[in-house]
Amino acid sequence: MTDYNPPNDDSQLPDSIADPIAKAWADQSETPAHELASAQALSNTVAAAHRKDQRLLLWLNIREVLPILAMAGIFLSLVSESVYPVSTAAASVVALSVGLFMAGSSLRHHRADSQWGDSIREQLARRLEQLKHRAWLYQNLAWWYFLPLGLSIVLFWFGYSEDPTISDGLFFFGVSLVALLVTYRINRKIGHKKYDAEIERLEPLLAEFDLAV
Amino acid sequence: MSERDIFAGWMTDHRGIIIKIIRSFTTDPTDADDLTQEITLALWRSVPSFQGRAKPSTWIWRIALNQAISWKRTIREHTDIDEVTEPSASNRADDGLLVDRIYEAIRTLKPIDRSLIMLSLEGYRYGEIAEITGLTETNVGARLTRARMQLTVLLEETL
Repeated sequence: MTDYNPPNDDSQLPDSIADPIAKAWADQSETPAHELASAQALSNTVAAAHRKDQRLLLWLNIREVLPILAMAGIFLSLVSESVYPVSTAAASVVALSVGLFMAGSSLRHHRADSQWGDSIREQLARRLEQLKHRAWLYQNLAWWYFLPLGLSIVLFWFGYSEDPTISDGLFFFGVSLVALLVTYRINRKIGHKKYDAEIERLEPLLAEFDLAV
Repeated sequence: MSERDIFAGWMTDHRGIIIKIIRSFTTDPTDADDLTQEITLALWRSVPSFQGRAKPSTWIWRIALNQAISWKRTIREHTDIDEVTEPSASNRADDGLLVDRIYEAIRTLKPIDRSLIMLSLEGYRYGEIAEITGLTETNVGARLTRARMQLTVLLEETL
């Protein structure tokens, strides 16, 4: 039961209305119209749901980041055997950068939903900022993920190949560019569908908080 | 005290807050279940940030109202009957409890105004409401005056 304090001195309701409302509000039963589980059962359910979410998130992160880091490791391990070690080392560094960027982005989203002292407006603003970041990541997957990884593979190929030719390089470049543009367009659409609607709903709500009455 | 103990304590001592918020945002049982889940999950996730530096009730109002406000906006297009349905003359003549009429009237307000009215009815002062919501104190006062006037009109025949 929440503590009830008398309404503000600065209440604008006429007394004939304010008093019965305040009384009815204070006296209301806290029995829900629909059943709420017991506190312990609710704790167990919520804890289990949260654990499940965390495990899923961890698995998704591992699935996405680990192969990139493994790729960087493999490239690095082959540096000494390369024809052009600098190229192979650069391939490893580029792949590692993508992996670290992904891990960093993921950590950023793991921040606690509510931080100490946050007002409702600040919680909304943070949620909106996270949504925008996710939308950006999705819509620009081609540039921060596929382009550097493609570049890394090309660098590795140049570094490791016995006799790299310009025509082979151009072929690689052309295929990568087409794949990149197709990916970019597809992800723009998915990102728009997945996030923009929610962003468009939350933006006016946040604006409402800042609107002077 | 473990996180689970803190959360169970909140659910025991302050479940009334969740019930009040749900009643102010929906009458549909499915929506109520959905909102309850969202609020409880958000509260669970907020436990590590809580650290006992605020009154639990104030913290719970902040987290739960944020969920309710944004949740309502998410499904507004589909089920938002509550917001446009004002208490009708026949409803007012019903023998329902006054508190039901109050909730009915609150549901006609904008989500932010609903929050302000509830916090005001809970006894929070303008400064505290401003701190909880992130509105300026002046804005809280202006919005509350307007929302209270709206409630007065809706409830005057009931009272």
